[in-house]
Amino acid sequence: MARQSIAARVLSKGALAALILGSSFALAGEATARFGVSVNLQAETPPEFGACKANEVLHSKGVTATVTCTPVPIPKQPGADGRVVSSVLFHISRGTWLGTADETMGLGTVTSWRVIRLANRDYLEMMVGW
Amino acid sequence: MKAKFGLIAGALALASAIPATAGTVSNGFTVSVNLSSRCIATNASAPTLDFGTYTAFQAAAATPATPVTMTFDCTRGLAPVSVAFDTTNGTAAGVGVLVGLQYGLTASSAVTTAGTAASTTTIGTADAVSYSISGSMPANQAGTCGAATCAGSHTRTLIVTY
Repeated sequence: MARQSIAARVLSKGALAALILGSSFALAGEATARFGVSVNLQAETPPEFGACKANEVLHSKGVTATVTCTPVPIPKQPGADGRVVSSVLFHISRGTWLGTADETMGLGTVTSWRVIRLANRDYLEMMVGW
Repeated sequence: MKAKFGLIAGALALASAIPATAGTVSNGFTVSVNLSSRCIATNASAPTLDFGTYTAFQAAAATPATPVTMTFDCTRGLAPVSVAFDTTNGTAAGVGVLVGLQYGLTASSAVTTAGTAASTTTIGTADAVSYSISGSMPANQAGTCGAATCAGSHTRTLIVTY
């Protein structure tokens, strides 16, 4: 009998708690609205530099490497060059700049190759040790 | 005898000519209603938050050119307490992933245009509550795409709690 009474009390407390919880949840409501999110991923960077072709020639003084790039025309802007790229060869030996010609290339020298985007002077530089 | 009848007939004629006095009586009653306040979405169709074209590893974060506006009609005087995003296609804070690109959404503070009260001649209008949704896609992301370009889209939900 005592057990039933305790159980009844527990049940009534539980019911009360449920009622309180239920009433507090009833106070909050939700409204939802849907919208889309979209993006177009471009995995490949559009070509900014012209296609380049490398050519190596072996001779008695060493190796002569030639890199030929095809400039990509861009719409002309006021005061800007119409070409996109230009290649410049800097030839360096033991820290000394020897010039831009490639005849002096040889073993033990370093060639710095710079491709310049003339529109904004942005450049890509490569150094090659021979 | 004739004169007596004439007097009685005259009296009756006078009595019928006097109008009866009108009386009113009132009986009060109570009109009651229990209003359950709520908000409902009013966008006719789901707008799209478009991040545009994202070039892999691009140096700058991408942001949508135009934010989207989500509007709700709410019971006059009922102020929404919070907003969150669905957790089906992202997090409640608004972070999500599209074609391998992470993005984050932001919701502005609520902008409320007060409705007009009801009157005996009009039912009035709701308070219009609107949120502007925008976002950002961080820079230098690789994305996931097996081709040169991949388009991605999914649906998000703005949840307003009131």
